[in-house]
Amino acid sequence: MSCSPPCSSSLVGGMSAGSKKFRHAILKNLLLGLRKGGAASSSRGMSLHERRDAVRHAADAALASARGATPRWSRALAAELSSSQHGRRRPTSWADDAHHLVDVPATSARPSGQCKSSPACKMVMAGCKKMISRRRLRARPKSRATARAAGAVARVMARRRARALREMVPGGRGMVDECTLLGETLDYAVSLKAQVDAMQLLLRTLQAPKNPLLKPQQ
Amino acid sequence: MSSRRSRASVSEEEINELISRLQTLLPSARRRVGREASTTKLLKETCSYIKSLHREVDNLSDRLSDLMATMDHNSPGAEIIRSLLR
Repeated sequence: MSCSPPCSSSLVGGMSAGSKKFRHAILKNLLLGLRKGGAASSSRGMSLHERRDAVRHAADAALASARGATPRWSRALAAELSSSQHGRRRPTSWADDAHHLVDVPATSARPSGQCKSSPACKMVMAGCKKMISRRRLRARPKSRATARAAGAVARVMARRRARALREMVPGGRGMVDECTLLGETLDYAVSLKAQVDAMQLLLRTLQAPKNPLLKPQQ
Repeated sequence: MSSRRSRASVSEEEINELISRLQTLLPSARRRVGREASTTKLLKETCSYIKSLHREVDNLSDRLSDLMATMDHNSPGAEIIRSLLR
């Protein structure tokens, strides 16, 4: 069983979780999501709470879309965002539109599910459904080597730590395999850092209006 | 994604590689001179690291939303956003 973290694949155009390209993609998606959401305009009449939720939602959507469907946490995060947006009352329909605007890798080869929105949503949701149905149909065969590897990881990860990690990584509760959990955690931590960097850059850029217009980071 | 290659020894190597990568990633772990960081401690630090990143995202979201609340169509901030999106 391969324990490597979800690395870059052709699905995201060669973008790995730690690259500058990735950070740039997050920033771009974030801007698109914020502009579309009307969070950028004070005339929308959004309450403080609504605006904060909108920004948070845009940030997470930007992260998941930029990362793509390769890692499990990314698919889980996108699924969470989707369900929360359908369930809650929203001031505008921007959250649905945001999915249309995010940077979608064109090389996605996944079959589309019955998701009614954009390619980005389809890609992520189809991946999710595929993953869930695959698990139901096929029980994981526990070969001796797999069991040995699992034993090695179990020795390494105290159960409490594994539980704590599962709660923090999106989709972690579904990761029975601690090997996968470790890889996903690594990828998630790196991606989160990129999200923080992108948001900090945006904040700094907006707070210094007197500067000449800054180019997006390279 | 569900490759069933059975390579136990390689898996062990991969685990160690993941753990050492976590170690280089964590800001506090890098400060440690030796590499005797216990794995449990490392995982605990990873937990706190992710939690602190979550808090940072929340904080930045709040500040961004406050900032955007004061932006109108003609403000420099809006112009920056428009130009970045061009």
